[in-house]
Order: sequence, then C-alpha cells, then structure tokens
Amino acid sequence: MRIIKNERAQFMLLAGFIISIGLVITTVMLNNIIFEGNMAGEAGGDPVKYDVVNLMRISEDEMKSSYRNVTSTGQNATLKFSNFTRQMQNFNGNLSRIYALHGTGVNISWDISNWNNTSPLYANFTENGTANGATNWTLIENVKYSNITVNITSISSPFNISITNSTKSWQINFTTAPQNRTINSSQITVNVTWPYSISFINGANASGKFNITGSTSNNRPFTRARDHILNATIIIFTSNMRANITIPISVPW
Amino acid sequence: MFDEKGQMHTLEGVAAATIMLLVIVYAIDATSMTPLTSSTANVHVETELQVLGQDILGALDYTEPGYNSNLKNDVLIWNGKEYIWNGTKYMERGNAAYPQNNLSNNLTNYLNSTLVMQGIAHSVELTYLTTNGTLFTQKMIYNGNPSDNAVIVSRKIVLHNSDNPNKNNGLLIDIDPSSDLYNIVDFKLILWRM
Repeated sequence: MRIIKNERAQFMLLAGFIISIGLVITTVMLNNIIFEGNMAGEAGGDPVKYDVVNLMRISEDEMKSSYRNVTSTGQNATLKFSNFTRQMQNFNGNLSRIYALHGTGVNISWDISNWNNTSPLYANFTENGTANGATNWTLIENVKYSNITVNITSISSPFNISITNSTKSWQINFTTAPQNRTINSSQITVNVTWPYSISFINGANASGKFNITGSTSNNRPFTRARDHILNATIIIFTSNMRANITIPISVPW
Repeated sequence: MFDEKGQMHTLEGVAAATIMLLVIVYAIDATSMTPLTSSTANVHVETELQVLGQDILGALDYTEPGYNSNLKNDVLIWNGKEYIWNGTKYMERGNAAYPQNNLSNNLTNYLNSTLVMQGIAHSVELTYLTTNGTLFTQKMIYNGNPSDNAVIVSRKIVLHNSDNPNKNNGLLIDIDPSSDLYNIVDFKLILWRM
C-alpha cells in the first residue's frame, strides 16, 4: 500500500491558527474601542464654562460696585452716569487684557436705560427683578433684627411681605401705589420673634425699590437692596466658541 | 509541477508577522504608564485635576452679598512673598527660620485637605495689570516647575480702592485712579501629578 504524502493537514492547521490569531486581534481591538468610548475623559466638560461663570460673576459685581460708588453720599449726583460709564469702560478694557493672556476675548457692554431715564423704570419685586422672575421668594433667613424700607411705584394687589418664624407668620399687605413704607425692627419683634425669615409674596404684582438692613441670628450684618435692574451683555470667545449672554443685574445689591 | 508549498510559505509568513505584531503591541502596553505619559488615560487625569482645581477655587470664591470671598481676602492679606511646601507647612522661601513666616490662610487650609493629602503638586501665581498696560506675575506658592501635563485653573478677582489692596502687597498698583477700580487679579492654581 502506497503512503499518500501531501501537506494538506499542515495547511489546514496553519489556516486554523491564523484564524484564531485574527479573532484574538479583533477582540482586543473591539475591547479597546469600547473602553475608549466609555472612558470619562471629557467628564469635566468644556473648561470655558468656568470662565463664563466667573466672567458673569465679576461683571455683575463690578456693575453693582460702580453703582454704589457713584450713588454714595458725597458723590456729585450730576456726574453719576458719566462716572459709572467711565469705571465700567476701564473695567472692560483692563479685563480684556487679562483674558487675552489665556487666548480668550471678552467684551462687556451695559444697558442702564432703566436707571438713566427721565422716568426711571423700577424693578418688580421678584427674585431677579423681571416680570417673569420667581414671584414668591425668600430674601434672607435667620434674621435677628431688621429695618425694611419699601417704595412702591405700581401695584396690582395682592403683594405682601411675609415675616415668618418657626411658629408664626406676619403678613404686611400693600394695596396702593405710590407709597413709601418703613417697617422697623421693633414693629417686627412685636409680631414675630427672632429668628425669622423675610419673603416677598406675589412680587410680580408690584414694582419699586426696597432696602432691608439688619443682622442675622449669629450677629452678621446684612443688606438686601434693589433700586433698578440694569442689563449687562457679556461676550466671550475663543478660537472654537463664542458666547453672548445678557443678564439682569440688581443694583445696588 | 503543482504543489501547495508556495501558498504554505506565504501563510507561514503571515502567521509569523502577526505573532511579531502581537509581541510588539504587548511590549508597548506592558511599558509602565505614568500619569505624565501622554495618552488617552492622561486626558482623564488632567480632567480630574481640572475639576478638582475648579472646585477648590469655586468654594473659596463663594460669598454672600456685601462680603468679600475667602479667595479675595487671601489676595488682600497676602504680603507678596513666595512660599514653598516643606512637607508640613508652607514656608517663606529663603526665610523659613521663623514660624510667623509661614503662609496660613483660607487657601492653604483647602490645599492641606485636598491637594496635599492626595499628593498632587501645585503652585499658585497671581497676575495683575500695571499702569503701562503690561502684565506682572508674582508667585504665592512655588513647588518647582510643573510638568508638561500640568493643568491651570484660574479665577479673576476685581479689587477696589475701598479694599485697600496695597496694604500688605506694595506691588499691587492702582491702574485706574479716576474711579474705584483698583486692579484685576488673575489667580492661577497650577496642578500636576508627580
């Protein structure tokens, strides 16, 4: 009997070997793709968002500071608008140079028409001062004593200030406009003992100014006040993004 | 003459090349990967550092209306000198003999409980403007030159005349004498893995 000699078995073994190696490679590559795809490498998101938040914050603070500065006692009232504009212009110019260090461009513009007007427009008593803002909101909690001054220029009832402690609530109702009203600390403590919170209820129904000063239960002084709502438009741009944001800013605080 | 030797040799060549490729890939993967090695994993490390740094600055820069933030207070009380971490505290560079020369403020309290505990190297620099429009940088904390994969997080802090900013740091100058604006500080926290 003749021995059949060829290389078919070796050929099949080699082919099987190559197929198995190919499968291993495919599996490893697929695993790498899935791993990279699910890695939280970008979990922090776009880092420029921190710059945007910081820019909004310092722009807001600077507008408030400028307003307080030019309207403070001893300042020339006739120059308040020009002084405000000069400080903001200097702020904007210098801020651009700081941001240019990071390759970021910024520009801040401001709209003070609500303030610089022969008939100034006063803000609603909502949380952000606009008509669409939160209408029931708490200005401060844990108050020990406070003096509240409210100047109402327009109203459609109901609008009231709520002073509330853990057991009792005192509602101060406003029904007519214009009116100026001051509620001092002794009036409050007769009705509500400290610590209490101060809230505006139905703030969208009225507009005007308010000023609340006092101290919290840990003897920390505070001021909450609003004369007007000014608008700031902030533009920030890098090589691959551009943001244009307009924010309402309550002044003086 | 027909046989399958040529085909066989080709397949053997392919198999040998594949095995060699696998060996090379395995050898590269087995090489020690440090946090400083540029790779997709390093992006993850940088992102973590960035978020951590921003959280630190965010917590320090929070304030209620009418008050300066802790970060701004740290800038205002800083004497303009450079400090280094000696393993237990931030000591004045070149003049560490006296404990009163140590830097201890809100920032160092945060750094002690975050970056120091996690072994993350860090430096702090402040850049502010000069009257001729140029920028000037001072180091508050210096722990050596950062690596190529270092992360910088920053906050801008606006100083006013009413803050009395040059009380402790004479190099801070008033860039706008005509108004209450005093200077703008770019507070930079630099973080990197050792």
